[in-house]
Amino acid sequence: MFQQKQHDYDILRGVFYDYLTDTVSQNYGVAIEASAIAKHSLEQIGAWQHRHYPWDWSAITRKFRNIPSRLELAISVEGELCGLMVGKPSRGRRHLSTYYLEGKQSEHPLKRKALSVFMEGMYLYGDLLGCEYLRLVEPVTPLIPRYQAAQFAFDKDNTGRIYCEKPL
Amino acid sequence: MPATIDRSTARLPELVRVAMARVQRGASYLSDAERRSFDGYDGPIAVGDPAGQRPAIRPTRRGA
Repeated sequence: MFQQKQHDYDILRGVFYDYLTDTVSQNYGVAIEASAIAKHSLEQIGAWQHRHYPWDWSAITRKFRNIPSRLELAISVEGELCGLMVGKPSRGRRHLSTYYLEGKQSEHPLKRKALSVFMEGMYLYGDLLGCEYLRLVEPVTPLIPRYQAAQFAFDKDNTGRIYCEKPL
Repeated sequence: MPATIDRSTARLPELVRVAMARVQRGASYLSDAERRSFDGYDGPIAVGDPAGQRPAIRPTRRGA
């Protein structure tokens, strides 16, 4: 049963990666490679400089791999990893939460478009799952004014974590 | 991970067929206001707080 569910959601994420690639190509003019977080992505992070948090993406990915409906996304351009994102839908599918998102800080082919592209990914996967809201759990401080300008509302969850969310 | 899947057949799981029917392939979800907010940003992009650095913001909804 669990394995069947994993298999079905693997197919769904395959659709998600294909559709996101099309969305970005048609609306941003960039040919991205959207995929699961694979070994070659994890190897590239080791060489990233000026990271905001020293996250262990191998551990993060392992932690979420037992959640069939998880959001899992690596975005590369011409083989160069530009960012990664992991999250999951709430029970009942009210919202899709992103718990970890990291964009490459130094220059890369998606620089200055990366945030828009990751938001497109969140919207698309949330829509595929039938969620009503998008939620970012503990967004980095310099981005808060931009989320506010984009009509995200801020609140605290029952564990005291700040999040922002908006209707999908 | 399924690298190649034939999605033209009726053998797709129900949840995938329902999901695909919900979305318009290739369409952008971001409004003009969102694009203006997000495009051009070249600072740190991160969500999550394992380093214990809380975002410096007060809730805007609680008690409103």
